[in-house]
Amino acid sequence: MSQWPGDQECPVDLHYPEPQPRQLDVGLIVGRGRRIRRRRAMTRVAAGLVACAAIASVITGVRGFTISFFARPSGPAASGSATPIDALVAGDPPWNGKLMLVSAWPRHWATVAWATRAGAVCWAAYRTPMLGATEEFECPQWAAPQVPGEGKPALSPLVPAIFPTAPDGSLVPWAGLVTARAARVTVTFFGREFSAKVIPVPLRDGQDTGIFVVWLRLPAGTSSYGSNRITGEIAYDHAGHVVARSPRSRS
Amino acid sequence: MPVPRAGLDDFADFVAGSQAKMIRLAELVTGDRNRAEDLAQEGFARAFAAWPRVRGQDPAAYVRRCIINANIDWWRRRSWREQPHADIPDQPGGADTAAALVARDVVLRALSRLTARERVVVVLRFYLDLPEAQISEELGIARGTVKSALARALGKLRADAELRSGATS
Repeated sequence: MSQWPGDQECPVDLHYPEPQPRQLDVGLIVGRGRRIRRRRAMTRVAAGLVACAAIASVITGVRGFTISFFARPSGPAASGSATPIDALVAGDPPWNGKLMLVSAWPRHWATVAWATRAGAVCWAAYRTPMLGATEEFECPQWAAPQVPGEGKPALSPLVPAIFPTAPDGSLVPWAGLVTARAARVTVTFFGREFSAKVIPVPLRDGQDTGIFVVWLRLPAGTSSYGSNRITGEIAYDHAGHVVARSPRSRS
Repeated sequence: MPVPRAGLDDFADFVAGSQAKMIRLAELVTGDRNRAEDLAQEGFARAFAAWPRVRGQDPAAYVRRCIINANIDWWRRRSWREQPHADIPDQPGGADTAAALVARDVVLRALSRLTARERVVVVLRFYLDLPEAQISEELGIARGTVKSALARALGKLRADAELRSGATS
C-alpha cells in the first residue's frame, strides 16, 4: 500500500489471503446445537419452577435451601415427585434428587448447583424466565478430584459464565468451590473486590463442599475478560479467619 | 422442535458457505485463530439450536451476534469441549503461506491497538461491508456512535507506525 486511502477506506486489508484454511466439523456443531436446544427446552420448564423457589427464598431471606425435583432413592413418597425437569440433568442427576439454590441475585436470575453420584458438582445460572441464549449450564463443571475435600485443594478452579449477562451485559457470574468450612469468599477482579456467601452442597460420601457464585462487574468499556483479571480469591470462615487462598492471591 | 432432514441439509450448506467468513470475523475480533474457530463453532451451534426460527430470517446475522457477544475468555470451555480428531488437516506450506501469515499478523496487530468496540465496528464495516445503519442495529448502539467509533478507529489505523512503515516500504 503506497498511498493512504480516503476517509472511508480502511488502511488495512481485512481480506488478506487465508494462510491456513480450516473446515469446521458440522457433525460436532450439530451435536452441540442439539444439546443446546434440548437444554433450552428443558430449562424453560426448570426456570419456572426455580423462579418460584427463588421468590420464596427472597421472601423468607433464606439462601442455600434445597429444591426437590427428583425422586430420592429412599425418601418419603411425598418428596418423590418426578417432574419434566428430571430430563434437564438426566445425564448427571443430583445424587440426592436436590438442587441447591445458590443465589437469587440479580433480579430475575437464579443460580443452582448440585452434586452428582460420581462426586462431580454442576451449576446452572439463568434468567427467569429464559431469554435467548443467556443461560449458563455446566454439568459436570468440577470433576470429583477438583471438588474440595480432605487431601484435595481447598479451592477449585474459578470459572466464568460464557456470556456477560444481567442486567445490561456488565455482570458475569463466576462460580467456584471451596472447603465447606468457608462462609464467605472475596474475589478481586479488575482490581475491585467482590464478595459472595458460600452455600454448602451435600456430597454423596456424607461430606459437604461449599459453592459460591460471585457476580463480577465488568469495568465500563470492557468487552473481554479472563481469569488473568482475577488477582485475588480468599475464603473466610464465620469468624473471619482465612481458610483458603488461591495461589494468585497476594498474601 | 427437531430439525427435519431438509433443514439439516440447509444448515450444512449454510455452514459450508459461511464458515470461512465467520472464522475470519472471529479472528479479526479476537486476534486469536484458535479461539476464533471455537467461537465460530459455538455460534453455528447456537444457530442450529434455533434453526427452525433462524433459517427464515438472517442466520448469518445470528451467528455474527453470537461471535461478537462471546468475545471473552475461552479457555474454560476448550478444556471440556475440545475433541481429538483422527486426522489433522493438511497444512499448506511455502512462501505463499509465509507471506499470508505476515499479512495476517500485521492486520491483527493493528486491530489489537483499537478498543473492542472500534475493532468490531471496523470489521463489520470493512470486512463484511455492512452499512452503518445495520451495524448500529446489530450492536444495539446509536448510529452516531458507530460513526464516531469508525472515525476514531480509522484515525488510529492511519497513524499506526507499523502500518505506515509497511505502506512506504
